[in-house]
Amino acid sequence: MDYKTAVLGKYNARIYKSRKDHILEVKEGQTQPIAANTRAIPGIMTNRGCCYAGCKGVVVGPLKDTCVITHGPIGCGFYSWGTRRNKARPDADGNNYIQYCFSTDMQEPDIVFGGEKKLRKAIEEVMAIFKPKNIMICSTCPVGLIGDDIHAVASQAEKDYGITCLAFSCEGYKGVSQSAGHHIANNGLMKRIIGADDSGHIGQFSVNLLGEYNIGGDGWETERLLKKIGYNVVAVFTGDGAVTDIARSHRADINLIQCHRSINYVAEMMKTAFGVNWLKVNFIGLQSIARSLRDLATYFGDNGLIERTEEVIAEEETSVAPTIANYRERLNGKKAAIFVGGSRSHHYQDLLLDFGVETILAGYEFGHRDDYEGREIIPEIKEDADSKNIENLVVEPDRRYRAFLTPERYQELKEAIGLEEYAGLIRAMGDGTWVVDDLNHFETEEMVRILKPDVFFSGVKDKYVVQKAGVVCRQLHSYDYSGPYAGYRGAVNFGRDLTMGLFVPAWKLINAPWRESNNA
Amino acid sequence: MKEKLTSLNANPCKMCFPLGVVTAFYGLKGALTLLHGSQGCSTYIRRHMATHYNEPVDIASSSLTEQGTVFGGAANLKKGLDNLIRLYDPKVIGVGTTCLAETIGEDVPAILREYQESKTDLKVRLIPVASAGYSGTHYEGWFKGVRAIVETVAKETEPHAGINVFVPPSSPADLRELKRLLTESGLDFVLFPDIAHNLDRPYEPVYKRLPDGGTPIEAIEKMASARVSLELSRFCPEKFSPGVYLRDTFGTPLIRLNPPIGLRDNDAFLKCLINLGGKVGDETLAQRGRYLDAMLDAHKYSAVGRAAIYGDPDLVYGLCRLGAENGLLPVVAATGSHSPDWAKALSAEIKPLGGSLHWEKLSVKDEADFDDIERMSLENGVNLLVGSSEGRRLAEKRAWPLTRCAFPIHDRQGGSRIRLYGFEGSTVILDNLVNALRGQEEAGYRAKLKKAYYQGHLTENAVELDMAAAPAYKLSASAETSPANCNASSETDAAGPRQEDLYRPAWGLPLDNQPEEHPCFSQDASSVYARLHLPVAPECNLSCNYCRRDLDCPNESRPGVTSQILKPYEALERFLAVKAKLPNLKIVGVAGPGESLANFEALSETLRLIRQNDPMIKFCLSTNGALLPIYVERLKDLGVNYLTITINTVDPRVGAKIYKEVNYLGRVYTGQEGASLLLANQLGGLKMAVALGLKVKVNTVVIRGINQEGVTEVAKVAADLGATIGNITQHIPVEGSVFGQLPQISRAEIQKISWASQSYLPQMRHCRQCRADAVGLLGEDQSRLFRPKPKPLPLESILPGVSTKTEARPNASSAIRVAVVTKSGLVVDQHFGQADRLFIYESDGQSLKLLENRKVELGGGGCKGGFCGQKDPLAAKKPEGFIAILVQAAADCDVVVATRVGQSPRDKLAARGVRSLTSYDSVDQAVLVAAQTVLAERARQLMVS
Repeated sequence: MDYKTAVLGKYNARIYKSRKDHILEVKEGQTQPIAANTRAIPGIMTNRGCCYAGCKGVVVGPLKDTCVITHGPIGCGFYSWGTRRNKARPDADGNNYIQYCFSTDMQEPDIVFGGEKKLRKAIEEVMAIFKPKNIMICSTCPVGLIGDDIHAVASQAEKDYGITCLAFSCEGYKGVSQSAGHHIANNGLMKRIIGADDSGHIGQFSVNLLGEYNIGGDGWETERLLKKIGYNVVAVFTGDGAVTDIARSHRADINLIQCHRSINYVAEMMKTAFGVNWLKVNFIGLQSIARSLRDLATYFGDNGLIERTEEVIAEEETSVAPTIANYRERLNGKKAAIFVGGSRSHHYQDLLLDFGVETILAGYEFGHRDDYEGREIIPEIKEDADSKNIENLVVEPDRRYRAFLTPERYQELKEAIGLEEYAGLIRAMGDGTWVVDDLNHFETEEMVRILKPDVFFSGVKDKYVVQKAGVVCRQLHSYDYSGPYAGYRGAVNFGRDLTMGLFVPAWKLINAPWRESNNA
Repeated sequence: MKEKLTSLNANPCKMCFPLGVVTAFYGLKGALTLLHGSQGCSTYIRRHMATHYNEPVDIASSSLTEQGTVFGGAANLKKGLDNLIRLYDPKVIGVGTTCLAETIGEDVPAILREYQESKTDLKVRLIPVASAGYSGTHYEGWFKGVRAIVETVAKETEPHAGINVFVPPSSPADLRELKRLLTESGLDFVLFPDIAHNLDRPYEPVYKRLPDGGTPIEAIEKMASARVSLELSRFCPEKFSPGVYLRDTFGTPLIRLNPPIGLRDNDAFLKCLINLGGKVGDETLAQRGRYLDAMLDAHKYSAVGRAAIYGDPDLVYGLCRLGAENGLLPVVAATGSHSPDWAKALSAEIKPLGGSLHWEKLSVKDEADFDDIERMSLENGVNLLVGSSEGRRLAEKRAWPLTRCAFPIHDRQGGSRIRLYGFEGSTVILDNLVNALRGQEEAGYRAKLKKAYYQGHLTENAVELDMAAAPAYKLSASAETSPANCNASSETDAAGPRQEDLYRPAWGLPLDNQPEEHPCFSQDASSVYARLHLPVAPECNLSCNYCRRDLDCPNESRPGVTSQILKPYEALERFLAVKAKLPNLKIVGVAGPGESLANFEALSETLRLIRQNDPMIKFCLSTNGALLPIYVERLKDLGVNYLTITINTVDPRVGAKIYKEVNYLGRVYTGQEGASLLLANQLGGLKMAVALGLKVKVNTVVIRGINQEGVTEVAKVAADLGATIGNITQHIPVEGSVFGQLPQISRAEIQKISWASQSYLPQMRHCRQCRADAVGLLGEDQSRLFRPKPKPLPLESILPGVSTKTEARPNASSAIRVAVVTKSGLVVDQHFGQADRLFIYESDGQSLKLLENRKVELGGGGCKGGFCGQKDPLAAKKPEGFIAILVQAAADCDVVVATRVGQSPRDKLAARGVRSLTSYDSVDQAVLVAAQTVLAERARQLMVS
């Protein structure tokens, strides 16, 4: 069965040409290039969002000690209000602004005469009510077009109120997907927040958790494990995160990267500027968690820590083993398709394997080639018109900070635990499985029809398309209001949710008893 | 909030214009929409609609990037149309614009013309709709979409007898009901837009990419020549109104009506159909009767409703009228749209009802956000929210029930099946509103009645008492402005009790409707559920002037009884033993004998072990709070549900007198510095604990002349920070402590302070000042059953020179007379003040003999209620002088043993040369120990003299 021809045959020649490089059948042992991070094709119902969604929705939005003001008409602010289910506890001062949506709600006259005045007044009002220490301004499409200087407004606000105020020019039309917004947000955090606070003591075995947005409490479960072993989590970017923590994060001993796509810019820049090494981890799936924890212990090389790590792994594995085995019994041999953002399509394959579920199709909504093919491909990626428009921030080493590792030890570890490496999605997949970049509605329908997966993991936009086609769909963006799925306890939740989805009694009741034919 | 916001929309109550446009196109058969602009707009709107309708939502985008923004988006738009047609083969494509396209000035009609001209065999109709996000809200967007379609499609045809029905944004289920009514009328009608099928599709064996419901475009073509247009919206602005367009362009008569919500508007709608020659069927008449019946049944609940209703103008108007005809007063009506006419009409609608219910505070506001809604709701005394799920944060914060009945609903299933229209829809929504109110009522009525009728008069006195006390402590600025108590709360606090308090479940019954199981947090629970205190925490990090370190901490347990310290595994063993004996065991607590958090390793290990053995048991902890901010999250992780923090003062100057030393993370702080540090941690920890969902009790030990003035202030601050209950206890002077000689504060004074504090924080009045190793119900300590039995001390160890070989019979010279206060005769189980008989024993410290069961005649018939028993202290007063009678009755003894002896009887007994001791042991054991103690003291005195 040639999936590619079957699906792409419906396109006209131009679209066919453009889409064919985004789809490949995995051949083990081969180097297979894929096209990614290119413009979505108009009119074919891409699942991608916009630059604003990546900046405000993903990276900046979860910061709990920050009032994020959306500068623009009402829609964008409203639609990004609490929709990602990233959770946060109040900070030490009892503040938690993530339940709020602040917008300048621009009207026609503001578009015609400019919105800076309204933005200034909105900041004044936020200050009057909440007195936050931090304000971040995210702009929507019209703002860049009418030329509002949000950066000047932000600097003035810093002077007027003695706060930290950042502006992000993350207009929706920039870049080709959310990914541009991640980059813009990363740049902002790097320029203004990371490294801003040198006070106070950072304890032993200190780590930052990067690219963990605490959807459904994932970050909390991950932190629980790290703290149980004895790590000191300095900052989380940015789930349940705080600007105050991120300001101190440059003094941590290592950055752990969960979501590579959205945060690797910060990791790389922190490496250059402050000498903080980074390690790609995955706290989704039992084997991956154990591997990540062991790699981390190896990094520090402390015998007590290594022992404690084994102790915790054994204890945690034992505590969930019977439940996992129970679900595995029901799930073993099922086939899955995963289509999510920029990292999870890889991460969840590990967890699915714990239950004996093979992934036959996977792809990213907004991944880059390195997310598919591994970081070694980066030098080969050509800059195009869209990526050139996003600032590529270059940082200089800050001599005040010392690298945690000696050069020899660094080399050693690079080989031992793959320090600062990421091998990508394709290598994780089996022979004859499929990888599709920027999957759209039409291709999703065709794919479900041809490949017949038992379960499809995606988001709410295609969930009902897939379910109406007779295949259960679990949301891996919001977890269908469940979670956490990270860590050991999360694995149990995931097994439970997947089992309940696959064994919904309704699937067996589709045909009315008075109908003989089996047309389901 | 002090003033109205002008430039900031804080928590919007509206969505953007294009969302309305694309929803309207879902009501047109065979149509798809493409939004010209950045793809984020389509994506956001799709995910938003899919979450509400639980249906596939396909909205294409021209995916403009920076390049298209600079050089124009025509190429992208045309490419998008190509693909859409090829893959979906729609009959109609609505091309909406977005902020981006409108701001760069895209001429979409021209691009579409160009596109049409370039294609010779184009079968699809293209309908442009200028729809920048800033042109209005989703509500106006809906009508703009409808009007654009009608403008493009409708044309002069042969006049016909059909009627046009234009609907405002409505749920699929409501449109199905509307079509049923219209079909029943027998009139020929075209309802538009009809999203009934397309956004609530049945499961079908084969998935159809393009849904097949909706109003056919051919029907819309004939709309211009219809007999009449009914527009079920009174507030759609004329410039967006399809009915107005047809009237002004083709002369089609227009009737504007309210959507059929509630009795009057259903009647008006049906009357209109009858006037047009239609019929009303028997089933509809029966439904009308059933709605009337429901109205009558509901009156006793609906009349207490004070609702805030928010959403689209027509919907809010309809729901307000439905509320009004049921006596359920809409005290806040809000819409995010700009609609001054609506505000005026609605005010006129609800004012008369407000007048007849003597309720003056009514607010109607257009262009409102949730910040406005919250402020107005607090001012007007709301007890019910009605609208979309976006009010859920407000509902959670203020504990107002929310009836979800409008788009969008993101936290419940069934958004497509909202029922408001028709008599049956009105019945369903009335049931839902009334049940929301009943749910609140049922959850808290007992506690409410108790508060109103049993405690009410006392609370009033308390307020007076408090007015005299000068506040010494102000909340910090950050606490005042934190989101938890932001906005209008600070305003209304000053204005006296909030109206909404009347409708909230009162204390003692938490909002989640779970009955309270902690005996300290609820008097009801205290007689049913047992708790176990595990003495695993010997170390302390404070040095309090009322404490002697070698004894149990007097904060939480009675002094004078040094507990045995348990190791974590021993604690587990005790837990298992107690659990086996006491099936009503609900709470495991750690209350010292030192500071639980200063022994965190032992504490966490203990809790972990117990949790492994019992996933259900609840954990409780007592702490002085010094280390609370450090550990509170870990406590939460360990599964701790309850905390007791002892806060004796919120004034560091007073604290300096109480706390000799504060050992904080290895450094010792003294004086005001120490007290400030402790206080900051106590208050911070309390707030964090509450934020994490723990229930917190705040204990205050009242010490005469030291902190008694500031106790109500503690309650006030604790309440502000979210504590659940307070507990004010007597300082028990401990010999050897700095405050050992201070006269004790009387029970009556404690009662007075406790009632004064009640106006801020509910107070626990059934406290028994338990031991650190207490077991069982509050009133019935059974700890002795689970303690290893101490062997009687060999006599020579306490009486030097006395031979151990004395004869077994009590020896006259060393016989000690012990008066034991016991109800059961087996265990020391009563306070001295509770005694109505004394068991007189004689003992030499080795053996014992019961001499007499001495009944004490108290006069006035005696009394069974103890003065700190469960009954109301003021209602069950003992006759005057009963202490004197008791003391007289014990005067011939050497020592009195009771579970507790108050300061006054203790002094009186001492004056008669009678020693007082406390015990919880078996009577035999207690008598032996008492005799040994007295003998040892005598021996010591002999040696000294």
